[in-house]
Amino acid sequence: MSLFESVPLGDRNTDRRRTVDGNGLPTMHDVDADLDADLDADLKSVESSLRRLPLAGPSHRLAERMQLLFEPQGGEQRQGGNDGQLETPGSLGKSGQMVLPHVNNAGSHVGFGSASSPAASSQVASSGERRETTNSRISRLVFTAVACLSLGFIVGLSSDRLGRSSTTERKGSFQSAAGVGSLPSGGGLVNSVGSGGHRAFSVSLKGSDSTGADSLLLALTDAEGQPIQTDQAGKTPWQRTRWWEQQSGDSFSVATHVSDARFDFCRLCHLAASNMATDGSVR
Amino acid sequence: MADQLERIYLQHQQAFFTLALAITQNRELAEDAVHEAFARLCSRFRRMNKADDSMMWQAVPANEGDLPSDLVSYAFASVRNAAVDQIRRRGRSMVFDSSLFDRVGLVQNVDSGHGEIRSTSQSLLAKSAVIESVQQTEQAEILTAAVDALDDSSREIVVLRIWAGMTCEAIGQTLQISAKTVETRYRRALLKLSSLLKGLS
Repeated sequence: MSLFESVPLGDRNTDRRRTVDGNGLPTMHDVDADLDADLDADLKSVESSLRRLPLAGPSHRLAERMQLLFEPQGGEQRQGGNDGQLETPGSLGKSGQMVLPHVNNAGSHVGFGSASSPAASSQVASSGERRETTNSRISRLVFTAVACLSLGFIVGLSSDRLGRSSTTERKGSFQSAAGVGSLPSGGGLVNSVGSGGHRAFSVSLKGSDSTGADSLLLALTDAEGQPIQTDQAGKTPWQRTRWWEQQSGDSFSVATHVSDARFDFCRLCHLAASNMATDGSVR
Repeated sequence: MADQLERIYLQHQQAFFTLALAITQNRELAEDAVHEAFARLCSRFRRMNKADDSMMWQAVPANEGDLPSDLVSYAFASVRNAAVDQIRRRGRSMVFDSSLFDRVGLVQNVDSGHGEIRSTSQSLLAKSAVIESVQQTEQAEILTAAVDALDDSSREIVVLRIWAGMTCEAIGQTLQISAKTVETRYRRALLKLSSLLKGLS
């Protein structure tokens, strides 16, 4: 006894006359026609019952978001970043944090940000693009922090060296220190603390939004929070290092500036400082 | 191009949302998915507009009055992919219990039927109409529960077939399966729903 139902070939659905495409496959119309023809009255009544069911509709929020997306200005996409990626406004991430075009008092679009925090200046597109933007921003911040940490390390090391040399060689007095840098976006405070071998130091990045400029104040302080002082010429240790590099034609390197136990000062810097102290030359 | 996308959205917005809801079973995720899909499409078409040598661009008909069926299928596929992405991205913290159907609307139908009973209580004809209405409401509730309980692939096919009005081949393009598979799954889903309704009656 066969496990399968015996169906006469002429009654098989596959033998029904139909049009085929170039590959011998049934055309789209035939598949649908077969489906319609094969559905009995019960299934068709189910179909009609399903069509009458009231569907859950989207909220008005989605309509507003889509309207913003399709608006000529809202749908305008901006060239973002330096890799040619396009950013689309009007997208959203988490529910309720839809990205809306920022509108100024005049009612014109001036930018894009989160609806939950309209003042934010985040410029985002679809979720994926926004993630990329956020990631690039984070990477920029991390890069800046690492750069400042490295800078602080070098400055701290050199200040330590120069500071100690001033007490032994030139008896200089130090006053204050400040440098100026810049960040791609304003805001933020980065503190990094390290040790220059003998003295601790810290680097603070303070964003300035009051003027609207993306300026950054780089303040160097020692472990006690006191600013690293400058010498009599008003030069910071960092500036002194640059000055030494310009004068000697050499580039300052922590690896080559090994500390000399006798003077507690790296050999080249000690040599330069001693030469400068004696005859004002840099050799 | 944005105009065409807008027209496609306006024409099928309910179907887009229902498809996303069928996949995510969460209203917020469904809305996010629809929006994200169209944001991606806008961005993609803008890039293609600049590249000027895209296949999708060629798929757009010269006559802007006709919406290409490929583009509609493409939009549905985008919404589906975005819905799947939403689940992957944020699914762990969400609750998946949203129905495809407006249950409030069903209850309102029953309430309005009772109101008719009070106002026309002397009329047998009205009573029978109300009873029929209640029966239909019960049937609708059974159907909605059954559709919600369908497996994911069958529910997607039913949504695309019934509420998006797509052909089997278009559904196959959207879901990347053959039209015959679509037909088979659709028929099975209807049989399941039909048996449930017969059990009720």
